[in-house]
Amino acid sequence: MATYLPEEVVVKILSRLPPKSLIRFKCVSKSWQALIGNPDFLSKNLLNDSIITQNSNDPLRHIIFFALDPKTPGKLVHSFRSYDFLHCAPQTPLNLPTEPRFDIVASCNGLLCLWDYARNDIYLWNPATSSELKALPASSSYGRLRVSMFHVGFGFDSVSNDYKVIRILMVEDEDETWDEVEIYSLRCGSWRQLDLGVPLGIYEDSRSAALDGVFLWYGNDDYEDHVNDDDEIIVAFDFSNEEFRTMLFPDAGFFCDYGECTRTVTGLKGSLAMLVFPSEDRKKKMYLDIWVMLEFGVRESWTRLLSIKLPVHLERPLGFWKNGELFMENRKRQLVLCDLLAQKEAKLGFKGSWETLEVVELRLSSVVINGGRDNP
Amino acid sequence: MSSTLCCSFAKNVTLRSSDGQTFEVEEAAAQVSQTIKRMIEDGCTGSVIPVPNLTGPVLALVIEYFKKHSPPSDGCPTALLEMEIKDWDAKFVAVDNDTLLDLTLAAHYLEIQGLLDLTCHRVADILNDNSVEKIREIFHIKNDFTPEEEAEERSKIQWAFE
Repeated sequence: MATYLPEEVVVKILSRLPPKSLIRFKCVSKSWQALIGNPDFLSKNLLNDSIITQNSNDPLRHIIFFALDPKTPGKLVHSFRSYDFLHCAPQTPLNLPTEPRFDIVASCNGLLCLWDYARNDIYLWNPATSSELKALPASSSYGRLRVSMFHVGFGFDSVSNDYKVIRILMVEDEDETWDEVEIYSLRCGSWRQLDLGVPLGIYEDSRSAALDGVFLWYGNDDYEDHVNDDDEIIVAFDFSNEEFRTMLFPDAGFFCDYGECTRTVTGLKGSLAMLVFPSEDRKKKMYLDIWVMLEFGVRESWTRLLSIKLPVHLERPLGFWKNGELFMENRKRQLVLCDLLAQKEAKLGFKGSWETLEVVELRLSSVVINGGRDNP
Repeated sequence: MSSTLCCSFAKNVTLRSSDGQTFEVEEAAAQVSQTIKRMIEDGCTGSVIPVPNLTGPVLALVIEYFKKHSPPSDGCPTALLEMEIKDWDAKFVAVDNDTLLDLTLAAHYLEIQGLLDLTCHRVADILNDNSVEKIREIFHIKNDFTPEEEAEERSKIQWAFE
């Protein structure tokens, strides 16, 4: 018997598919094409839902806001909230050295990795089990050589079931400098060297993102000569096979008309998303663009979801929430949650110093961190 | 008079398919379907309940589902029982594509949420692994693109086919 399914049921079935399959099935028929829709963030359709909407209802899922305290210069403060409700929570200082210059490297399941890049200290922290932060042991294998650290990444290796930190070091002796790659295994509690060449092209001040067992770096294009550079890349480190791979950005031609802008990468429902927004000079570009790499590692799958005029008081996008709402830093250095399409925004009761606000997601777990050393 | 005894015995209802087959099933089990539940509450129990959208073989399968999913007579379902039902569900929808779509449609008409979730999930899994051509075949969908239109559409999203 040939069964005819009503549209309502077809929608129920298709809504369970990942974006890549939905895009492919637009070729099935004209009615499916219309039903699935276009990835544009703007309309209510199956494809947008598949890319954006996150049904959480997971009480373990949390969000942490970080910033440098505007009242006590150099003090890192945080606020810990449930993902689903973002209930107000106080702004609490962390027990870390004062006057740090901190980078929140990434979160992975229930763990956070922080990097004090003034002191070259890396911290792993489980906020569910402890308020104490301990730095990882420093490597001692370089003797009297001068060592500086210039990239840190963090992620989970699902093959060996272990959390790992990667750091890329620059080592100097009297005559030359070279790169070293080291990896810290939480299970072993120690560092070991990897015999890997460091891919060229990670910019010195690269913004980075963590995604499902992979850590990514790239360069921001504050340098003028990079605006039209065809060779801009993403460098990805895979924690399972401990290898680097490189991927291309969307065709650089797309960015020709952007002028001065900043690009940042973040995760959007398991996909890599790129936010392009105006730098300080807003005369050329007033729009926030959201791009998503729908199939990891495939350049052609970069899709521009949205280009939307940014209200002048909103400056820096920090990450996504449930239905594509964006966390943003406003001009008063407050954290706000914005629904850009409905043009609604809400203050979240969190404030920091200029360009220090960060939003990190995690899922509470009981992983114990051993092997740290006490703060000096 | 007989109504005073109703609570001590499992009460049955009779369901009739589109092709005239009748099936007797416990009222509590049939109420897994919201549609049938409403009909019972509206007092249709005295006579046969018609299920005009389902053929006999499909209705027979749905009744199997009813029986497995009727609320247990003594208290809460245990974790073990839930696991057993899950296994049973997986086997229940491991059927040929046409039967699966018939069951999906039956779950929709009879408002059986659990079965609808189960079948939609299974259909989505099948779709995910199949080509565009195969999907047209499974769903009996006519390709209304001209060859040129389809070729153009595909060329725009070549990456999704790899």
